[in-house]
Amino acid sequence: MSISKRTLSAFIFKGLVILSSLSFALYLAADDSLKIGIMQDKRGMAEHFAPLIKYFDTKGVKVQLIGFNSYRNAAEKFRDGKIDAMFAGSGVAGTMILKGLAYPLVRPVSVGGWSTYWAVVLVPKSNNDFKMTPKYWSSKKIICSALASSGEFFCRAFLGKNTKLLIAGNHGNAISALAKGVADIAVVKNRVWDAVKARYPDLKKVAEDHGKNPNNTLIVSSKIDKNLADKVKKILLSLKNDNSPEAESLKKALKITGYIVTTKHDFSHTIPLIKHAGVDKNYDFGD
Amino acid sequence: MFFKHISIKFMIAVSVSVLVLMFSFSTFFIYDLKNIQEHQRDDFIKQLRSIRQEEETTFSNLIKAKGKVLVKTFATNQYENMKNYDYDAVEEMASNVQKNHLIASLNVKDPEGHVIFKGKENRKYDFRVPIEKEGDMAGYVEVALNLKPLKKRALKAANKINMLTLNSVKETELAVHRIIVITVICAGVGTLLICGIIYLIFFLTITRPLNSLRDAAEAIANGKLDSDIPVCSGNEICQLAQSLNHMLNSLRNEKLLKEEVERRKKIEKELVIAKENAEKYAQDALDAAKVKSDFLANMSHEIRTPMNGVIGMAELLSETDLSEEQVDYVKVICESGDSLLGIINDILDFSKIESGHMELEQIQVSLQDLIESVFDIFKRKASEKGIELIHYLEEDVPRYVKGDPGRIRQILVNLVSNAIKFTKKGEIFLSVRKNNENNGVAELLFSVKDTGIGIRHDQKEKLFKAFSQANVSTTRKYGGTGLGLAISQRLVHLMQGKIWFESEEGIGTEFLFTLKLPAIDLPVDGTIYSEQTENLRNKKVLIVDDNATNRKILSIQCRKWDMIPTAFSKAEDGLNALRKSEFDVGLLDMDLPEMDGVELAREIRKFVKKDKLPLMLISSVQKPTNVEFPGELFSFYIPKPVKQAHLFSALQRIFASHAESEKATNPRKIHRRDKIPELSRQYPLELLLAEDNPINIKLVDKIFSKMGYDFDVAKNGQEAVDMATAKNYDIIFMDCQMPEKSGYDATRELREKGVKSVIIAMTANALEEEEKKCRNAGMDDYLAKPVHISDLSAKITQWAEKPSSR
Ligand SMILES: Nc1ncnc2c1ncn2[C@@H]1O[C@H](COP(=O)(O)OP(=O)(O)O)[C@@H](O)[C@H]1O
Ligand SMILES: [Mg+2]
Repeated sequence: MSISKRTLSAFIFKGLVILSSLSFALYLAADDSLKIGIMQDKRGMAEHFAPLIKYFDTKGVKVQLIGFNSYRNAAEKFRDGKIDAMFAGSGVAGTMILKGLAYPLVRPVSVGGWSTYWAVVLVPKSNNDFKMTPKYWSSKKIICSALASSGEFFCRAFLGKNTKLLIAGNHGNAISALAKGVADIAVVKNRVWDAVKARYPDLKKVAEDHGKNPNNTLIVSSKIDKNLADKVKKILLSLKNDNSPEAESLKKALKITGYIVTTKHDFSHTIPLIKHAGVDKNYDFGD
Repeated sequence: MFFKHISIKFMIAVSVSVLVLMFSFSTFFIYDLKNIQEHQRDDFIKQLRSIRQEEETTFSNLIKAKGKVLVKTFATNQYENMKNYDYDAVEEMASNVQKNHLIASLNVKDPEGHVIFKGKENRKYDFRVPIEKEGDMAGYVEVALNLKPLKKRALKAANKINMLTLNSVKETELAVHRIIVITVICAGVGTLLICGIIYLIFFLTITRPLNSLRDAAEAIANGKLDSDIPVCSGNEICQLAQSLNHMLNSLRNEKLLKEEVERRKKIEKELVIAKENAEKYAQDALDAAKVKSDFLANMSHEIRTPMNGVIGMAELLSETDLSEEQVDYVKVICESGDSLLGIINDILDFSKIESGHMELEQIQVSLQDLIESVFDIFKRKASEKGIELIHYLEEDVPRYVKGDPGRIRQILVNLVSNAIKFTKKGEIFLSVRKNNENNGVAELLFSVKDTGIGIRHDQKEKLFKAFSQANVSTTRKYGGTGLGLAISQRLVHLMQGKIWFESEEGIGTEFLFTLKLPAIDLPVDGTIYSEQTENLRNKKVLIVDDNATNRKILSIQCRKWDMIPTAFSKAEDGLNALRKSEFDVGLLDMDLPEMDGVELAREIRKFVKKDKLPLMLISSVQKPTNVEFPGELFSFYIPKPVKQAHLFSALQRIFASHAESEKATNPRKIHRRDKIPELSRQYPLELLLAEDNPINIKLVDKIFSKMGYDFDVAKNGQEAVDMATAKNYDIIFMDCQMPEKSGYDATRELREKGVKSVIIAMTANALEEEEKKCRNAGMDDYLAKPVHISDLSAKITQWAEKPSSR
């Protein structure tokens, strides 16, 4: 019995301290929190994300929704590490990539089996002399969706970056405005047109883009923790083969079958397009 | 039987025609009534319709307002959606709005007119609301309102109104029916009445004359001739009556002749009686007039005699040593007495004028003296109130005219007394101007202008009426009877003049009157003054007076005498002028602002001696003390109102040589009051007083002793005659009403006996005739009671100076 009572108690105390600090570190490591940015004034976004948040929760990742009020604001938040990730159309995603603020991670595959889209050009059926030339377009009123590679960016790439355009809130709005005669030409996302064209018997598609853009890509901040990024990627990629109720309800809600890996290569059409439209490192989303 | 038969037939015919007439009249009336009623009904319905329409518009306006609010809210909310081309959102909300029951249909269009939302109905829109924010237009909304429920409501109301209308129309119809029934009844009653009247006429024109013809024929047959058969003209019955009358006439003529002779005799008798009556009435009227004028005379005598005692004694009392309180009392007695006397005089005058008894004198009058004497009466009062009395006769006004000085004076006194009464401060300016002259008759314009309270325009009419004053409060504040102006007006009219006034409230009043007076062509002023103006020629006069009118008049007078006046309103300016240039004489007003006349003189004396620059003080103080008029500073004292003669003589004294000046001036005129006690020394006279009233004797005694006179007293007319024949009196003061022998009789007797003494009547009877009566009796002058000390001394002076009458 060479060890005194006192030495023993000191040993036990030291052990306890080490144990508790270890468990705290473990707890910290387990508590991975993902801050997803969403456009504040878009209605129904919280409900839209509810199943996704729940799914992440089951996988041990806490999701926090961070609002931004403009894409410029979003870019700042990416830069400052206040947003980790964001689901974005190819135009915004491409711009963030071009600005070096984010990189792509995954994108959803729709129940229809597609994960890309492209621009289509619509005119009223009564229009018989449409020409896909800048001269013809210059005398027309053109409507398109803001910051979309199948909308505003397409048009600016085609006609020049300072062209006067009617900017609609979304592709649907652009189509209905065309139908009502507010504009002569609409440039919209083919997926939207395909979904609603039955409602617009008086419109017709007269042209479309030749390249494809990745749809609704999850981009992550360049400042995100690599581990967290990998974990998120892993979780989303596993969704396809996950049959848990949470997974099923998520797929149903978002009308997707799962996610696929997405890299800069997937933007090989998009990025040159937006560069043509005038987007560079200093682009500020037109605000 | 036969006559009755005719009248019945006639009656039936008449009744039928009246009935037909009445019937057609009522039918017409009823038809008319119906027409009117229908018209009224239509009008009523029209009015109700317009009310309904109004109701509808009000409703629709309300709905429109509500709809507008709704659509405006909608439009404001659509701005963002329109901007983003979010037409789905726009459509959704528009269709929601369209569900509102107020909105029938609603279109949303973009600024270029593209239809964004098409309403459910294709209707003309009621109004348009822009979709805009801060002036940026993103489209507009066209709205058609839903007025159907409103229409339903209106319809309901209309039904209700229709019901009401129907009811009221029914009621009116009922009323009309009632009227128709009444009309028919009235027509029936009317027919009966008219038939009755026609029958009456028939009876009167045919049945009755025939009856009376029958009676007359019977009477003639019985020998009665006096009643005539009533005759008419036209029908056969009348002709019958005429021929009967012819026969009757010849029977009657004889009888008539007899009667006519008797009637004429009777009238003659009546005429004689009437003539006697008329003569008696005329005499009565004459008597009554005489009684009235006697009554007036007596009344005035009865009042004046005791007043004489009261006023005279009070005046004497005031000259004795009295405490201050007593002096006040006496003053009140004097003033009250005077005003009472004034009122009596006024009433007397007025009734005299009204009864046409006023007779006007035609004697020589000096206007200058007249006006100065008027101002003399008021100078004390004016100086007490601090009012300037100023008068001015224009150059071309004749100095002497022919007229009644007493009456002109009376008018002026009335006007000036009013002016003083109603003026608190300022001036009273009496001026005379000549309007024109025709055949030696000058039309003179007199003006009395004050700076008093003025007269309101609306009171203009009544002021000249007897006993009327501007307003009730005037009596309370200023007293008076309201007779002054009435008398003045009548006097002016008697003298062929006009009187009127101009006034501005709070600024002043100017009373003006014209008189036509024959001018007496004496070479007056010119000669009096021209002899001595040599002395005054080119003398420089310094005038200092704050009153502009005074300055003007003093300057004019000086210029008239060829002097060179320079006038200043302020003492300071006068002093400065004196320092700069030389003057020969100074006229200083006492009442100057800042520095008064005496102070100014003291300043002047600091650098100019008395013999270098004589000064005159003009002041309203009547008996100046040494303080008020320091002799070492001034050479002369001129009391206000300034009389031309005073000024002239004073100037004369200064500039003329000693011998001349003594002659030219009349010191009595300047200080007359002071001379009164020495009157007896100046004019030692033998005086007799014939008077029965002991109070009056005492009064006159006091006055005479003040003047230093002894005198004899006769208690009645007889005594007077005895004494005056025994002793040679210079003046006899003769009361007219005395026991035993009246003043008139006594005078007559004395004159018959060749007594040459001056006899002055003393009477309380103020009537004109009285004076005439006195003169006719042989008296020389006339003194109205109550006797004043000043009157008496004036008379004594006047007669003492008249050597011819002694
Ligand atoms: N100079 C005046 N200034 C103002 N009011 C005057 C003047 N003269 C006369 N009146 C008005 O006219 C009224 C009638 O004057 P008058 O006939 O002399 O009667 P009385 O003087 O007895 O009142 C006065 O009461 C006064 O109201
Ligand atoms: Mg008067």
